[in-house]
Amino acid sequence: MTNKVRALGVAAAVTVGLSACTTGGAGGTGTIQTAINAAPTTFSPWTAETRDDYDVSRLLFDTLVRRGADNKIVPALATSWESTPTEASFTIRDGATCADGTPITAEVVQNSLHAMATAEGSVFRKIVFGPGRPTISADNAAKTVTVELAQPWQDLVQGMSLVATGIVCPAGLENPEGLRRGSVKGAFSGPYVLSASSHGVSYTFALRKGFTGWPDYGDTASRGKPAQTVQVDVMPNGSSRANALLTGGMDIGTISTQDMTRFDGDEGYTAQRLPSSSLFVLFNEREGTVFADEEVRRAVVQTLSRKSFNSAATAGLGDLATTFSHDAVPCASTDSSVLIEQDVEAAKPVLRGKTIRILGLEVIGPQGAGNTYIAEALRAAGATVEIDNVDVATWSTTGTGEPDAWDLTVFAGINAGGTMYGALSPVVGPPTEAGGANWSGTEHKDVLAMVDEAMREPDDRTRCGIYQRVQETLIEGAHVMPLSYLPAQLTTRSGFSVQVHNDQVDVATMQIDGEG
Amino acid sequence: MSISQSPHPVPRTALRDSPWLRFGLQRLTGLLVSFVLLVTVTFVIIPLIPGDPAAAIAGPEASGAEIARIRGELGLDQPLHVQFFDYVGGLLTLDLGTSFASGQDVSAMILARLPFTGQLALFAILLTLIVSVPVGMLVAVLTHGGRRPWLDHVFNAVTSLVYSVPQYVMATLLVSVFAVGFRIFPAAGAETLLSLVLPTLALMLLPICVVSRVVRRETTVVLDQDYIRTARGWRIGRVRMFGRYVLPNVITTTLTLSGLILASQLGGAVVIETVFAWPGLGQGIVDAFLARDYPVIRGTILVLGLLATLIIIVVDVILAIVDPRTVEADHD
Repeated sequence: MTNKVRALGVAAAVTVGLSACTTGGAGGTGTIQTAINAAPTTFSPWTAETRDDYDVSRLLFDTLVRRGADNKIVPALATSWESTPTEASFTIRDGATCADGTPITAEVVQNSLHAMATAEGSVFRKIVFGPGRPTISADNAAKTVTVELAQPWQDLVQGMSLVATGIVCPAGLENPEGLRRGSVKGAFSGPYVLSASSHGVSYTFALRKGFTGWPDYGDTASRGKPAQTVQVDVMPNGSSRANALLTGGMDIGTISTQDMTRFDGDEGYTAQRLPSSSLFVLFNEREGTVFADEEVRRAVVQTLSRKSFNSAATAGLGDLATTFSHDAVPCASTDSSVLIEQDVEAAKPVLRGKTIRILGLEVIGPQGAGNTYIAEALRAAGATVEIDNVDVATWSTTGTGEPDAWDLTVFAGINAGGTMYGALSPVVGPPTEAGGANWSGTEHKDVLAMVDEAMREPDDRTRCGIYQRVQETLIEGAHVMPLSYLPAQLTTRSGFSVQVHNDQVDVATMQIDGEG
Repeated sequence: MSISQSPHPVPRTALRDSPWLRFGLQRLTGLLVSFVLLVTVTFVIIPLIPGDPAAAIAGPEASGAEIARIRGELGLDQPLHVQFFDYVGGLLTLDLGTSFASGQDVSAMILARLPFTGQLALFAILLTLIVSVPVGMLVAVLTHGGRRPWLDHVFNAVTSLVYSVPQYVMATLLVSVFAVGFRIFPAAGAETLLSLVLPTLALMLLPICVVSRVVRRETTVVLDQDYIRTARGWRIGRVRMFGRYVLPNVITTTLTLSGLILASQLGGAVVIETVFAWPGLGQGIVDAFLARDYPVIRGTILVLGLLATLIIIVVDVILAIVDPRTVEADHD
């Protein structure tokens, strides 16, 4: 054998060896590798603000209940519950403990929920408890926790499934700063503890020995085992996440539009497309603006095509929307007959000569292509259009703080609470300049009255009927125009699984299946 | 009380006239000026970026009251000069502040990312030197005097071609071929030593082209010098001639250029870090800009700026040792 051939042989062996090291996957080691977009802003469930915050909190903190298939509430830390529009009582599971071994009693739950209900900076407080401060009491002997509300709020039990109501153990309550930084091991009530972290780089979660409080999702029973370790890397770029999935560097991950089709037809992966946000046209209806006039709003809606927008914004991969919330939200309208039909010719005389300033979010399609479509469609209908495609921070700042600077925007609703009330917040209620969250500037007292009525209604069917009227009022009145859902793809390598209910991923249920 | 005198006192004028002292003082002053400029400019310029940090943190579905509360919590409702003195006061105790977005200590965040960036930049610059100096010198020797014109053309064509490929295209190509295609190296992350291969390669290809072309040109110029011809006439061995007469004359420009490249790579590897999900400072500063995380942006720019200045000073010192004429030139 010549030296050259020998050298080639050595090089090939080294290459194969290296390949094996990098593509072997982690299933066999009991580790699941996944990624988040950005460093968590907090490890406190109460003040969680981003999707990444929710995911890490879901690993660390247990909630009283979870939302299962078709929005059915299923047991988690609470084994049973009873509720009325003004009160709910939960029975706590026997044997539940904190990560430091402290038993999770009714009193521990009471203290945690009370801290959440009074915490500054919890955007979920009103979504869970409604207006006013709740009274929370505990009966350790009966193992029950009772929440009494200041006014009827039918979303309470559903709210208890949100990670924002995750139970923080006494050690966390005693050290709020440590809780926020994730450094108080005894604070955790969920299946994992944060065992190592390099902020902004990676986070390692270790399974708690003897943890048995997995949510009871019923017929979607587990097929494998929870990972001993969950390794979470920070990977902001969707293509990098897709590359990592394709090369075995990641087991479960969410990727964005442009990389979704890379997994089409690949049997080594399970891909599930989920709406990451609901996109709808939102008008600035403040007095003196062009869209204070319903006729002009209607003309805009008549000009636009949901299908064309969807092609521009999601390459056609998103589903068309029939309302302004995710369709998995309880009581979301699926009735497309409510939508105003496209009629460009009828719109042209109204829009001719009108000046419209679009505040565009650049993530809606490549370089804000969805907004560009809207601008071009309105120009073609005779309007003068100014468009400004900006990043999320500038969009939020302008939308909430500079009502004089824009007329129309495509709102990307996350609605992390998953309730119809949460979906309504950018459209109804006090305007942003009055301290509210309403971008449109019109309070819609009629709609608020209907929401109030819905919150008092114990019967699900009747309540959904009221919410249907709410959605019809806003859509038929051209206050909003539902467009489509911006998709994200949950991609899972063969040998791994995670449960998804109502388009929400429960990362605490990530598992290594049989052959993993 | 008497003051004992040194048996050999250094004359004051001699010390003042020492080129090395002057050299050191000049560099120290440069470092200090850079620090003051970096602190002031970053503090003033960064709030001019459109977008309110409080609105970015609260998100689009937050209420105006919530945004106002966060603004107060971050101290953004204070007058700018109050914020500035707070910031400078912190810097004097080596406190870079806490992140707006996460509440984490900015120094700790930077320290977590710095090794990744430093590792990548150092590997890239070392390999660049290891490859480009011999290649540039070899091509210069082989093509000297108009010999092997084909090699000259090939060298120019290849270096021009590689140089003209944008870094993100190069990085994407490397991932597609060696990670996704052949699965030889990891596509993303920084978990193993192998993860370093593709980002380093993507980062070093462009500097290799630049440095090797400069080395080639400098070598050609040196080879045309009279003293080289004289050395040849004395039949000095090739290794000795190149090691003693050619390399020291080529190294000055090469080191200067490499220092600048290394300094730029510390903060300029943003694209590479994004493509390879490399958790370095470049990626960190992009995230911080998107979140309008002022303390992290300021801290990162300050650290990167000071490191870049330090690198340039270190290169100057090395050059001064290798070629003391540079110190004399400064002095003159």
